Amino acid sequence: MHIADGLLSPTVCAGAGLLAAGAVGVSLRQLQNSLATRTVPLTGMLAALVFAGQMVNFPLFGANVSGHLLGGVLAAVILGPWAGCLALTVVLIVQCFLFADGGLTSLGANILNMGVVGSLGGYAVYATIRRRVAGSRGVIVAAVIASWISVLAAAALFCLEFALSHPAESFDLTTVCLLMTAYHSVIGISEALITGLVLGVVLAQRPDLIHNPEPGRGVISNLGRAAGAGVIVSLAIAIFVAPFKSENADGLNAVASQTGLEQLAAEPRVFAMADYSLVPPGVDPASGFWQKASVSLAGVVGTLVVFAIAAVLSKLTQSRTSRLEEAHVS
Amino acid sequence: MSPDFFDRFSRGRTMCHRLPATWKLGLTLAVIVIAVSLPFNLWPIHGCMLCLVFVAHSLARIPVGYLVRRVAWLLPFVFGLAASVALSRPPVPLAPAGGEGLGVRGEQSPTVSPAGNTSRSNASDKSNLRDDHASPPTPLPHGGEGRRWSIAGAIIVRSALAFLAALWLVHVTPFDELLATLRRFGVPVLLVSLMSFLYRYSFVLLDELDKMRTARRARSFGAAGWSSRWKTNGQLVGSLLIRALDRGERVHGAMCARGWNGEARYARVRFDQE
Repeated sequence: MHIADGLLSPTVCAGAGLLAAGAVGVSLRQLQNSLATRTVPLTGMLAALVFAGQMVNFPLFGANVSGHLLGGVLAAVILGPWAGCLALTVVLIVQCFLFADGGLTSLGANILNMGVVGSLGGYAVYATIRRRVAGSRGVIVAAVIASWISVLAAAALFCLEFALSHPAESFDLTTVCLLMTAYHSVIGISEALITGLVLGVVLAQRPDLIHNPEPGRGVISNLGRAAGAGVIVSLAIAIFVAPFKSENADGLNAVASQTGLEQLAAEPRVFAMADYSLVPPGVDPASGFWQKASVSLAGVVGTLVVFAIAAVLSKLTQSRTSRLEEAHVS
Repeated sequence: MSPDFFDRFSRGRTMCHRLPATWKLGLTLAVIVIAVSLPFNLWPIHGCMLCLVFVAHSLARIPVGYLVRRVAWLLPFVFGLAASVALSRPPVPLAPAGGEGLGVRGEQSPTVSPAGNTSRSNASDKSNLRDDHASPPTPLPHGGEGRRWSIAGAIIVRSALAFLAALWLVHVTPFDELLATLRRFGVPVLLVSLMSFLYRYSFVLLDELDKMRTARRARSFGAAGWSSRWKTNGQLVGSLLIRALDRGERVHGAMCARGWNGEARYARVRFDQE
């Protein structure tokens, strides 16, 4: 997930850094303005938790590949968007300076993709959905969907940054998008599942820890939230539509992508992590349309899977919490 | 969790460790910025810088095997991206005149930078696009195999160089010194104090995680299935979260008892003692 140095051009790094610094500055201001002094130690503790939680490996497919928590939406759901964004920012900076995970120059881009989009954007989606679905069920459903969308939005943002930092003729956006989508659909599903499981535990044992969005802070905040959610969702959708779009836009020839993809398919190592392009049997896998359609199909299937996860987890949590309440009453 | 999990090499006493942290941070930033922004047709400079970084690593007594392992972990993502960039261009056709000659020339051609020659390749690519509409299988005129792979190579070499430089910085500077330096470079106090919080309590939480894992191992027998491993791991992180927030409340109470009023003033006192 972390962007290494050398992948993005210095100008793009600087731009992303400025954007990230602005968002982090606003979050710092919000945190300082909040009256409760306890948010500072709690934010630091939550950052330490995300950091430690990333050491827990969740098995994917086989024994060799494992995913882990990213934590943007989780942090935002627990402490609110601003503290969540700061917690993720701090985790990313410390990972950069302790382990050299993610480059120094691309630190801004990493914070923008994972911290700002992951927490602020993810929270916008979460809050928008949560207002529609009531109770503990709403928390789970909204968090699961928001974490899936935020991971895809981060991937789309990376594609955009990559496209901006290299001249268009030196690579083909379709292939990069394909790789990123394949990789991040899997990451997104595991992130959604982990976030749902962890929040299920918290809801069952300490539901008071979940941050409650202030109801009715006025039209402006609601509008801003809805706008943020819209931007994030459209970014997430864009990554599935981008393969179609990029061909029409600047006429990168279909031959290039086809032959390139044929070689890519012949190189199993590249897709070994995520064998995710669904090609129906009997169709020539190299035919350009199906390669593109498979990305979108993967998106649809992924979305269905995430909805299923949301439904199952929320049902489980609901039954568990109601059982707890019964036990308390009796 | 081993106690030197974070600062495995950074508490050494070599020449590199004794340099002021400000210099080290500046030096590393300079190396990375130069490596990333230099056009790749000056690749001898990249080579020299790679040698320099290796010398710096050996001066700091960082084992080579460890470095190789770290770089190998970096590579899957970078390699995947580089390969997808390289493979997304059409290969040179198998016609006897084209392939090899272009490949060899492309390797040594000075116009290999992805960023440096925008305008020129733009122009030539425009003509190339028109060519393609006429007869689809025509390859790129300049470039071919060599150019494609040199772009991929540029991405890989730059990333590896920058990664090694950053690795040197983090392995010759203890984290608290680094925080003090960041503070001196103008990073907001609140952010720095959050970082020191993270640094302090990640040891505690990782210890707690280890204990919980041990307890789980003691209570469960043999290899669990896929779904139950997900479930128990989720419960692990969930209860760690609850414990962490409880601990945060207690720490906050202790801080308030010692006169903390929401301003992270302690950071300055502590960091200036260095």
